[in-house]
Amino acid sequence: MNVTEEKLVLARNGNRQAREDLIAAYRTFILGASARVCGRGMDWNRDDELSIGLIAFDEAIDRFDHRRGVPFPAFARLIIKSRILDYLRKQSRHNSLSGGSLDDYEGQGLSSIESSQAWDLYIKHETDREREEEIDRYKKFLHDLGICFDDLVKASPKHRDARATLLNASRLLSGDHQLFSQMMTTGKLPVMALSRLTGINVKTIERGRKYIIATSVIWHFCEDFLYLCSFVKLPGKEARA
Amino acid sequence: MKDKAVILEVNGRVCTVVTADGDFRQLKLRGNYRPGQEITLPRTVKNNYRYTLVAACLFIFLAAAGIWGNWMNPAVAAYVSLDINPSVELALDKQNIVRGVNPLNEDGKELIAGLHINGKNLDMALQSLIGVAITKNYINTGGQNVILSAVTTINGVTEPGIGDLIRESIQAYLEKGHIEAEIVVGNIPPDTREKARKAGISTGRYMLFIDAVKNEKNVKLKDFTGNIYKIQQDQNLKVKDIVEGHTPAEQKKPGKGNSPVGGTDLHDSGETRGDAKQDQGRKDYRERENTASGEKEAKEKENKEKGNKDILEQSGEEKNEDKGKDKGNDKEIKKVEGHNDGVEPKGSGGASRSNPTSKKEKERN
Repeated sequence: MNVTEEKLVLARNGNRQAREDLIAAYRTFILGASARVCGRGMDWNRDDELSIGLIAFDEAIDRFDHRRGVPFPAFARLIIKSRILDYLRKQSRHNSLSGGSLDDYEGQGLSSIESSQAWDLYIKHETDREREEEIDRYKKFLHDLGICFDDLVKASPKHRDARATLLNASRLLSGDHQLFSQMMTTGKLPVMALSRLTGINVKTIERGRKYIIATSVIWHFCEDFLYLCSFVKLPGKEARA
Repeated sequence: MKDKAVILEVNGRVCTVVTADGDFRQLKLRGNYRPGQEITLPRTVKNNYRYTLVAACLFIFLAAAGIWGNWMNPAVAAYVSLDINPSVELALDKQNIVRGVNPLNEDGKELIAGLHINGKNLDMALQSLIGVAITKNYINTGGQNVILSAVTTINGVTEPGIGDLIRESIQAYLEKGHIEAEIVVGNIPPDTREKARKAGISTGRYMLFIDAVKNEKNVKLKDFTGNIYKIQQDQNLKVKDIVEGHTPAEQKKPGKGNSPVGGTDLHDSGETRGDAKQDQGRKDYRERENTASGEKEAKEKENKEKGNKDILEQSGEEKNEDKGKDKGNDKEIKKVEGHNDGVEPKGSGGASRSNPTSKKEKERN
């Protein structure tokens, strides 16, 4: 995330290369976010919504403010969603003339909306709702794996170093597609393989089994759990930064 | 960042959160929270809790130590010596609970062997002591007995309550067994007890001894170590008069001065038989207490010296014997002091040790 933040600052200050890099890096993200809003699969060559999504992402780069406490991908997704919905509404009005009441916004441009407090409020409400939804999804996801939050409270190591060890293991696991998919299909943590991969004692992994599964899920499905993914950080990484 | 957390689950007041460094915790939070909400961890909550716990533990420990220490080594308020044939001294606290038992002779050791009277109240302790004395035949069930008890309060203030309590409890117990005994209870000032302790005998016996010396009798400490009743017969003295007539200075009215008029104290007049002797005892006591009246003290000293000289001049052999006995006495004193360590509170023990040797002993040497 640090790289992204650096590039965001650069892009906002007019560095075109940084902006291009960001857009390139988030291409699949933009595709996924747009597809989710529209509720169907999309293709870069075919769908106008993706263009709207790209423009919205560009807008998100300019408007992102880390002080809001919202991670950039979540913010970008929010902008994409709102812009695509605006676009779809406009389309439907052209088709059926049913959304006349939204004419107020026409012609005023985005600047007035941007500066308004209503926009901030909207962002806040939306992010709050999204966060809650995300936690709910995470809870269900873990439930399917046979893990509840109480288990994690018990399993999470109280000592920071011990926690860092397990988090490193789960980070490696989330990055290893083969091991991760093996875990998701069998529902079991490949303890031996993970021990070989990380060099961590089998017993340590066994003890922190639920903890490793739960955290690796966050990182592996980072786009699904945007807020959690950006919130929970590796302690070691943080120390280095 | 480290102090932040995301709420995962809200269950009443208990919230499950995950912190930025990946710690899943359960917290008790006040207020309305929704899952997904980001909160700043109340860092102080955990620390406060821990410090409070430590402080509480420390406080409980200290309180317990204080109570325990107080319980183990309570302030001794009074000493009660009991003489039949065995001599035993009990240390009492303010509530008249026995806090220490000190046998003062071999029979005394035998008497208290197997008895657990520490921590019992005075009444119970006396009854069990008398009970054992009867079963071990120190108290003659068919004949005459004298039970001598001397009460010494640490601060020197007489508390007639203790004396009455002792008398009543012994009397009650003896009446149950239809045993006849003369119970003598006297209040003795602390310095006399100190002298008795140095001499290695009980306070009550010491009172009898110094009385005998005062009356120019040819006596030795050894003569006062057996059965009190026997001593009374042998030495031809009235234990009751000697011990009970000897009332501490606090009961005297200051205006009386050196007036030899006695027996006006209601406390004594009803019980006393030999008024003259009692007055003598009182006068002597007053003189010893009142150092200002140097003249009389000197006179008394002279008397005593004379008496002792008489004792010493009687025969050379006895002199040697006396010396030998003195050495023996010294040993005994040390032994007794060793015993007393357990009974006395530290403060008073140290103070007593620093006291100069009693006047009487100086004279003897």
